[in-house]
Amino acid sequence: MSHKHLKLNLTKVDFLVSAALKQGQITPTELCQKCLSLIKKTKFLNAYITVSEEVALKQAEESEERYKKGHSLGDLDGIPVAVKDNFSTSGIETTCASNMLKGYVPPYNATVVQKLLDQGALLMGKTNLDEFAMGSGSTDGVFGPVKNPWSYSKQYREKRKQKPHGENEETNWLITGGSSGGSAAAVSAFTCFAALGSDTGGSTRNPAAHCGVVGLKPSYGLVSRHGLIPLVNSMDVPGILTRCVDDAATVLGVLAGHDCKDSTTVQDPVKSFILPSLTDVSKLCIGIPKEYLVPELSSEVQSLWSKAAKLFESEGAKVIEVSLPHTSYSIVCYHVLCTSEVASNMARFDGLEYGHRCDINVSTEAMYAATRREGFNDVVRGRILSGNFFLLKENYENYFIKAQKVRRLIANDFVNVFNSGVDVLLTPTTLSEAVPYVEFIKEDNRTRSAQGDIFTQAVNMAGLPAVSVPMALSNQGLPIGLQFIGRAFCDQQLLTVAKWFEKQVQFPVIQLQEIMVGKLVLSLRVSQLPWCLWHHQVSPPTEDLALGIPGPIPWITFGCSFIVTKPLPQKKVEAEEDSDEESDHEVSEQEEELEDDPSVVKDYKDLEKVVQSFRYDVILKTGLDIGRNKVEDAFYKGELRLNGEKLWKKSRTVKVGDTLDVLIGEDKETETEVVMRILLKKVFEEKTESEKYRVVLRRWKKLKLPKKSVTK
Amino acid sequence: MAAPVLRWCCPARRWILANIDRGPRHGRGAPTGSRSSGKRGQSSVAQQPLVTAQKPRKGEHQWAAVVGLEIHAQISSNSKLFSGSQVHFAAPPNSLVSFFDASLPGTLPVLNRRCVEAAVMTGLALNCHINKKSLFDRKHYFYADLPAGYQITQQRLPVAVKGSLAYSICVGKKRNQVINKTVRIKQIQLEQDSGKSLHDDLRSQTLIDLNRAGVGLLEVVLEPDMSCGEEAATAVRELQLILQALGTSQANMAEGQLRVDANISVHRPGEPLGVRTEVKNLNSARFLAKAIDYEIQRQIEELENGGEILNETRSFDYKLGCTVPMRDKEGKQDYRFIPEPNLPPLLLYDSASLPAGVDPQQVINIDQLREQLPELPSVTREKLVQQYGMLPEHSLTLLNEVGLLEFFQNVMKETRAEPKKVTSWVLNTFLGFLKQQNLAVSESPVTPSALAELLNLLDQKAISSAAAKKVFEELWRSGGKTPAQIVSEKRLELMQDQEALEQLCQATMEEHPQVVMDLKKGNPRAINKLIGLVRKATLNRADPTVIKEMLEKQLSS
Repeated sequence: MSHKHLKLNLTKVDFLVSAALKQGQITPTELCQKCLSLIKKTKFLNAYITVSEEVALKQAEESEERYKKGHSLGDLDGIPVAVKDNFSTSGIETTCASNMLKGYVPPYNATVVQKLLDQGALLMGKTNLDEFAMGSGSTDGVFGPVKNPWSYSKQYREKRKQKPHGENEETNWLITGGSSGGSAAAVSAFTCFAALGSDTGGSTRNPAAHCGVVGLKPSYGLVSRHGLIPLVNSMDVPGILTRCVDDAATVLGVLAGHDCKDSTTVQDPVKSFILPSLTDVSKLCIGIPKEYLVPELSSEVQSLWSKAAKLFESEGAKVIEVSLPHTSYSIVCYHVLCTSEVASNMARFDGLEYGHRCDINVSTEAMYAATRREGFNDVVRGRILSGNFFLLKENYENYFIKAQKVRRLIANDFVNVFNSGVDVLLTPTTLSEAVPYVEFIKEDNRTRSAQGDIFTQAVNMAGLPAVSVPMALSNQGLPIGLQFIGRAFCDQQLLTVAKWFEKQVQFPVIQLQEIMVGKLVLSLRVSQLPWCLWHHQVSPPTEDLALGIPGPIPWITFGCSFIVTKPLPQKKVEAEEDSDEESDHEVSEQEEELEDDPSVVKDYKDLEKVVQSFRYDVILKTGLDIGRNKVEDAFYKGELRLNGEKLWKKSRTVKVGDTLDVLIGEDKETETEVVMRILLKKVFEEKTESEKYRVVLRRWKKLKLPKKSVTK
Repeated sequence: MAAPVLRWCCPARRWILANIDRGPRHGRGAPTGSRSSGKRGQSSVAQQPLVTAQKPRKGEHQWAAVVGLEIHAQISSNSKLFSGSQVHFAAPPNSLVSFFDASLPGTLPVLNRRCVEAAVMTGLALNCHINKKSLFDRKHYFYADLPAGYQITQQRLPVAVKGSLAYSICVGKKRNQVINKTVRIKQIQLEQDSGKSLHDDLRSQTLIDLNRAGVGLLEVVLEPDMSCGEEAATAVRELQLILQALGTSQANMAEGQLRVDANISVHRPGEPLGVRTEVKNLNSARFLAKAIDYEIQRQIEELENGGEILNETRSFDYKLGCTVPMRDKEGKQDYRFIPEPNLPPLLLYDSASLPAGVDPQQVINIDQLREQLPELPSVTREKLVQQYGMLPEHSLTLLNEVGLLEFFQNVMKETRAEPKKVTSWVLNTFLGFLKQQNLAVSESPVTPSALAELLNLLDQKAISSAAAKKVFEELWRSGGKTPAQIVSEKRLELMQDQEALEQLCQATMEEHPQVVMDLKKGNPRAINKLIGLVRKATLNRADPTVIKEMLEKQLSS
C-alpha cells in the first residue's frame, strides 16, 4: 500500500475509495490496475464488450498527478467506472452489441460520459447488453449473454449443493437481467465502482435487482441523453449502477443538470444530491400499489415486499395501499410506443454514413435491405416491423394515439397517488430472482421483456425517478431487490428513503470465494475494512472475501487471485489469455434464409399491408424485391436470363422454380460472370385493371459462373 | 417538461462522407411535407377560380383550372435548423456537416432560434395566425441523402396558419391593366432540407453531399386559389419579394433556395373539382408558369378525349416543355408520421403572455418581431405611386427586377429630372438594355450616378433626347467614362449658339428651294424635311423644336 501522497481531510463517507485515494492509501493507477486485473479474471462473465485498458491507465496516471498536487477533481477522481456500450465514447468502439455498429468508433462523447471524465473518473470499458438495449436478460446481443456473478457466489453454490440437482453445473449459470446486464455484472463483480446503464422500461433496475446492486433510474429530463444511442427517446434515461445508494447519489450529482445538446433536459439549476442520513421515517408515507400484486409474483419476493412494508410501518412510517388502476395496460401500451419509436430511430442505420454495410451494390434499395438484414438481429427487426405497422396511416389512430392516451392515464395514476400524500411507492423490481440462462431462453424475447419489465415500465411512461435496492437473498441464495418510486424530480428524497432502507436491511455481500465453477476455480480474497477504521487509518486486515456491502465500498486486497485451471467450456479460450479478443466475440453466422422468421409478428392479420409499406424492411423478410428495379431494368434491356437462357420473348410465362439471372459484372481474366440468381418461389395473379402478374422472388444469391454456362 | 431550448450559433464541425453506390434514378415523392387537403371542398375556395383563357371550341363547355402551390424556401440563417453547422451554397461537398446532420446515433436536434424567428416573421408578413404552440414530427422515407431516414417537419401543428398573400397581375393588350388578387395561405411550417444526390450513371454510383442536409426550410402552402400559370408565377414572385424584403430567405430559385410544387386540376364550372396531379420541383418562375399551363391543357385534352386524370406526381421536362409522370413504381408512400420525441413543443409568446423573469434569449416575442418587420413590397409600391405619381404597373416592374428599385432610387437621389422621366428611362432604356443582354441590374455597366448625370444633362437641355440615347449606348459600351466626357468627345452637346444655328437654317433653306416651295404651297409636313436636314448639318446636336421655331420664323419673315 502506498502512502506517497498528502493526506486530505475525509469529507465524504460514501465513496470510501475516494477517501482512500485522497489519503494516498492507494493510488489511482494501483486501483485501475486492480480493476483491470479483475476484469481479466472475470472475463468469463462477458460483462465487457470493450476493455479500454490503455485509456484507463492513462487517465489513472493523470489522476495520480492531480492527487500528488492536491488538486483532485472531486469524489470521482481516480474512480474506475464502466459505461454501457450504447453510450457514445469518443475514440472507443461503441457497438450496441449489434453487427450494425461493430467497428463504429464515435467521434464524440455522450454528455454523461464527458461529465464522468471531467470529474477524473477512469473509463474501464464498455459493457455488454442486449442488442440496441432491446431485451431484459442481456442475452440477446451479438457478443453473447452476460453471466450473473452470483452464479459463482458461495451463497448460491451452497444452496444448490443442498438440493439434489442433477444438471450440469457449467450450463447452469444465471442471467443478469437486462438490458444493462454488463454494467450490473461489472459493478457486482468489483471490476468498477459505478457503471452507466440505460433505462427505458427497467433496463437498469432489472439487472441491478438480479445482480444485487443499486440501480437508479433518474427522473426523465434530469440527466442528458445526448450520446445515448436511443431505444425510445421519450422514455430513455441514463441509469446508474453502484454498490450503495450513496454512490448512486454521488454519480447522479455529477451527471444531473441541463445540457444544451439535449432539449428535453430541465433548465432549473440542479440541487446537490448529498443524502442526509434519515433517522426518523415517521413523517414518511409509503404507498403500496395493489395492482403490483400479480399472480406471477414469486412468493419469496412477495413476502420480502410485505416484510419491507412492515419494516417501514414498525419504524413509524405511514404505509398505505394505493391504486394505480391502469397498470395492467402498461405492457401493451409500452409495446406500441416502444416499437414505434424503435422503427423511427433505427431508420438511420442504412449503411451509408457509418456502421455495417453489405457488399451488395446492385441498387441503393438492395444495399439498404441487405445491410439492415445483416446488421440487426431478429428482435430488432421484429420491433421495427411492428413499429412501422403501428405508424401506418390507417393504424396510427387505433394504436399509436391510443397508446399515447393510455400512457397519459398511467402517468396520471402516479400523479393522483402522489397528490394524495404518498411520498414514495414501494414495489418489487422483478417477479423473481435471476433464473438460469437455459430456463430464460425458453421464452421469446418479447414475452421475456414483457415479464421482466412488468414492475418497471410504468415508471418510464411517467418519467419518474425509481431505484432498485437489494434487500435480501432468496432461498436459493440469490439477490432480490425492491423498487422505490419517487415524485418527478424528487430524486434526492427518493434516494434518502432508499438509503435508510439499505441501512436497515443490511444486504449481504457477494462471496466469490474458492468456488468451483465447472472446471473453473475461483478465489477472490477481498478484505472489508469496517468503516470506522478508516477514520483511524488503520491498515485493513487481510481476510477472505467480503465484498460489496451496500453502504461502504469494500476494500479489495490486492493479493487476490483467480485461478483458472482449465479452459472455459463455452469459450474454448483460456481465460488467462486476455489479449485474444477476437475469438471471444465469435458470432453465430447470420442465416441466409428467413423462411420462417420468428420475429415476424404473426398475429397481425394485415401483414400484407406491412409488406407493402416497408419496402426496405420487408425486403429483409420476404427476400423479395432485392432489386425489383434491377430486375425490371434488366428485363426491358433484354439482359435478363430465364433458366440460363437469354429472354427473347418478353411475354414468356414463368413458373415456380424458374430462375432469373441478372448479370452484375464480369471478370475477363477468369472468364466468369457474376450474376444475381433469383429463384421464383411464388407466382400469383393480381386482378387489377392491367392484369399483371405479381412475382414473388423468395430467394436470391450471387453466383460466379464460367461465361459459357451462363450464356447458352 | 423542459422549455424549448433555443440555440445560438455554435461552431460548425466537419464530417466527411464516403461515396456510395448508385441510387435510383427515378424521382421520389418527398420531401414535401403535408399536402394540401385532398378533399378540397368547393366552399373552401374563397375566390371562384377564374375561367381560363382556353378558347372553347364549338359545342364545348369551358373548363376551369385550379392551382395550389407548396413552396419550399430555404431559410437564410448562419447555421442549420437543428445543428450548428454553417449554411452556405456551393461549399466543398460534405464540408458543412455536423454529427447531427450525418445522423450519428445519439445526437439530438437543438432548435435554431433564427429559423423560428424567420418563420414567425414570414407568418406575420403573410397575415398568418401564429400558433403560440407548435409541434415537430418525423416524416419517414428511405433515401440516400436523408441520413436519419426521416425528416423533421411540422405536420400536426405548424408554426403559422391561415394567412393570405396579395399579388397583382397585369392584363390587357399593353399589360397596363392591373388586377389585384389574393391567395389564401394554409400554413407555414418549419422543416429540414435533405442532402443532395449526384447520380453518376457512368460509374453506377451515387454521390451524396450532406451540406444541405438539415438546412432550415419554410414550407408555405398556398390554397388552390389560382387558375393559371401566370397567376401562380406572379404569386410566387410576390412571395419571393416578401421573403427577400424580410431577409428570411434569399429565395433565389436558381440556387434552389425557393422550390415549388404545384397541384393542378381542371373541372367544369359548377361541377366538383377534378382529380389533381402534382408537378414537382419547379425551380424557375418561367418553368412554373409553363408547366402549369401545359398541365392544365393536358388535363383538358385528356378529359375531352374521354380519358381520366390520375392522381399522380409529375415532373416538368424543360427541354420538351411538357410534364411527364415520375417513375414512382412503389406507389403511394406512407410516411408514418410520429411526434419528434427529442423536441419539446415550440412555445411562442407575445408581450401579454411573456412570462416574467425569463431569459429573453430563451423566448421569442411575436410582438417584438412584428415591430421589427421591414417595409413590405406592397407598401413600397404604394409609396412609389404616391411619391412619384408612378403608374401601378411601373411600380410592379420596378420591384420585380432584382435591384432595380434601388437603382431607381439612387438615380433619383442624384438627378433633378422629373420622376416620370427617370421612371421611363429606367424601365424602358435601362431595363431594355439589361434584358437584351440578359444581365442583372447588379451587372449593369451603367451606374446610377452616370444615368443621373445623363438625365441632368438632358434636363438642362444640354443634349437632345436622341443624343442622350447615344450617350447611354456609349456609357453601356465603355464603362468608366462620364456622360459629360462622352458628350464632349462625341460632340453631342446641343448647339447653344443661336446665331450659328440660324445661319445653318438659312443656308439649308437656300440649298433646298424645292422643299421651301413645297412648304409655301401649303404642305406643312415639308418642314420636317428641313428640320431633318438642319439636324443632320448640326450632327444631331440641335433641339428639333428650336430648329422648327427658327425655320418658321425665317419662312414667315
